[in-house]
Amino acid sequence: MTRYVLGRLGQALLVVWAAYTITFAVLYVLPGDPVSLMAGTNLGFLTTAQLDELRHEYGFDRPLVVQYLIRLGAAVVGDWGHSIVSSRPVVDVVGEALVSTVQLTAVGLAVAIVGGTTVALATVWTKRRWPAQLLALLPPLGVAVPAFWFGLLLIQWFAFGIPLFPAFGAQGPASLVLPAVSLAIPTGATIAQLLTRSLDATLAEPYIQTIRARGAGTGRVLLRHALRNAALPTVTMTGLIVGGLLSGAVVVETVFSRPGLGRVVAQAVEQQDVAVVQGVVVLASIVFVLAGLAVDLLYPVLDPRIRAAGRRPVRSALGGAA
Amino acid sequence: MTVALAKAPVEAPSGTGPRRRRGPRIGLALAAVWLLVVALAVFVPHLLAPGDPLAGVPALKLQPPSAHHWWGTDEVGRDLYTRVVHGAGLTMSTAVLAVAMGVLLGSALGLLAGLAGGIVDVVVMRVVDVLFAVPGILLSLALITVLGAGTAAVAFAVSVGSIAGIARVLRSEVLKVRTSPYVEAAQVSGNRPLRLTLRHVLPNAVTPLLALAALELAAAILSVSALGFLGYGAQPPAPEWGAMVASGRDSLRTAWWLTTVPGLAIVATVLAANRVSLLGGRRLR
Repeated sequence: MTRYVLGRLGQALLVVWAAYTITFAVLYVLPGDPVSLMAGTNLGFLTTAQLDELRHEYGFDRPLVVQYLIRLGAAVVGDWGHSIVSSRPVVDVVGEALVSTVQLTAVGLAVAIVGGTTVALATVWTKRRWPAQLLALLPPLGVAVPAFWFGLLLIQWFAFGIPLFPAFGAQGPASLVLPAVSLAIPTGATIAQLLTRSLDATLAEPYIQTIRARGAGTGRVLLRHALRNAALPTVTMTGLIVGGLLSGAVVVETVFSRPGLGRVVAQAVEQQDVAVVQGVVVLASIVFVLAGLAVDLLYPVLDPRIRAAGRRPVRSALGGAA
Repeated sequence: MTVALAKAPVEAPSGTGPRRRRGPRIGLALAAVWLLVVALAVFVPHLLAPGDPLAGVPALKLQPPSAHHWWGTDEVGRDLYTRVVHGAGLTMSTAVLAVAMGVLLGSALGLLAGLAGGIVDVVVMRVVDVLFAVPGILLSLALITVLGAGTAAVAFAVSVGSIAGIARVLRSEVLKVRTSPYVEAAQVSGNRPLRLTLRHVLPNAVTPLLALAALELAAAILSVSALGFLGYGAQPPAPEWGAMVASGRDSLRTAWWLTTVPGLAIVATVLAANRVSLLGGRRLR
């Protein structure tokens, strides 16, 4: 077990390192250095000598390999460089924005899980009646809806039409409702799709038949016996789901003019503030990896079969993601 | 011959679910018709909407939908229907370009990993893992930081997001058929590796690849329009679905149609592409 945990930990570190390296390659190597990138826009007023000084200050005049190693070394001990625009440490810029984004994604995740599970259960429950067909339409529809558009519709309906919630900003818990719902729609729909499929598969298993034969009703079979097993494949997708939520949050925050990572990254992209962009991307990969790691390590707790076997969960056997 | 033989077992057991088999496939028919309409809008927009998408009549600004302007007019009096029809070209060409690049790069990586095996396989697939680990939009934004805004930049930025999925599917297809008797027979008969790949291995991967490409197209439309919404795609006067939703945001309170209609076009197209992708079987990724 210890071996497995260490192996997984190493793998996770490798992914984060690779994400750092790839973003470094994209952001620092491709088009010259960030200072000359910015010289065209924000720093147009500076002289060549001043630009050179700036380059020296940020270390852009050194060979790329040296820059890479120095930056990587610093990043490991928590120094992610400085924003080129505000010259504040990236860790501070990202850290401040993170609080609001974490609130949004957490509530979004909760809404997505509850909503997705409810739809999946209802779909399986009402099989062969007309509501089942209607319910079965919801997940594909939810997956196809752009979060930014749905957010605007929600503003139209529940902020302007019936003034229940604030349309913009981040004042108090009420302002979290509409963004969280629009963020949860695609994710919830994905969860519903995965869960419906694995509920269908689980219900076809012999042990369910046994339980039915012993007189358990549909509700009891679904909630007490089928859901727990059927949820496992969905749980393994947590990493992708959280990653999707982070992506969605960037867009949804813009729609609702909320502070957070979305605003930070949008601003950084516009001002070509590469250090901040890299910080956000690497942070997202860390979150993805941590979510995956947590699920893998918790898996034996959730699935007694693996506890008994004492081996790693087999991911490939768990079907598709979409 | 080989293709037809190999296709049958792929489609037969998967396809649509056993319960939903019965009844006419209304959904699929609707999807096909809608995609046809979108194709018309892309290739011959003037056939569907003869007007000019950029010319507005200021006196007729923000008109609600009527018999004259089916979907109303925008803040400078341009006909929304005309703009949505002409916008299909921009949104769809960007998305198709993105998927094409993704398929090209992803297949190359997948083939390389599957055929070379060993250390090459490990390295390539680890790189693919990383592409999975960074959420799509953020990766696209990182590329746009460097490339700047614009349609081509958006297409490339979005294509990177689809590489990982395609590489994985192609690699697994290659591994599946590489050791099959007929490929071994072809190998023993003296086919060179390149010919073996193109003639005997690749055709088997076409069905799952097409299905995945349709799925990726749906995802690409969403990404392209999201980036367009954020303002990184085609620039303002040009009609792009995502950008149109964004500009409708300013008159959200007064003119609901400006955001609702382009968004509906996105939803319908994504739904249709997703539905079509189901034809190739559900066992993807």
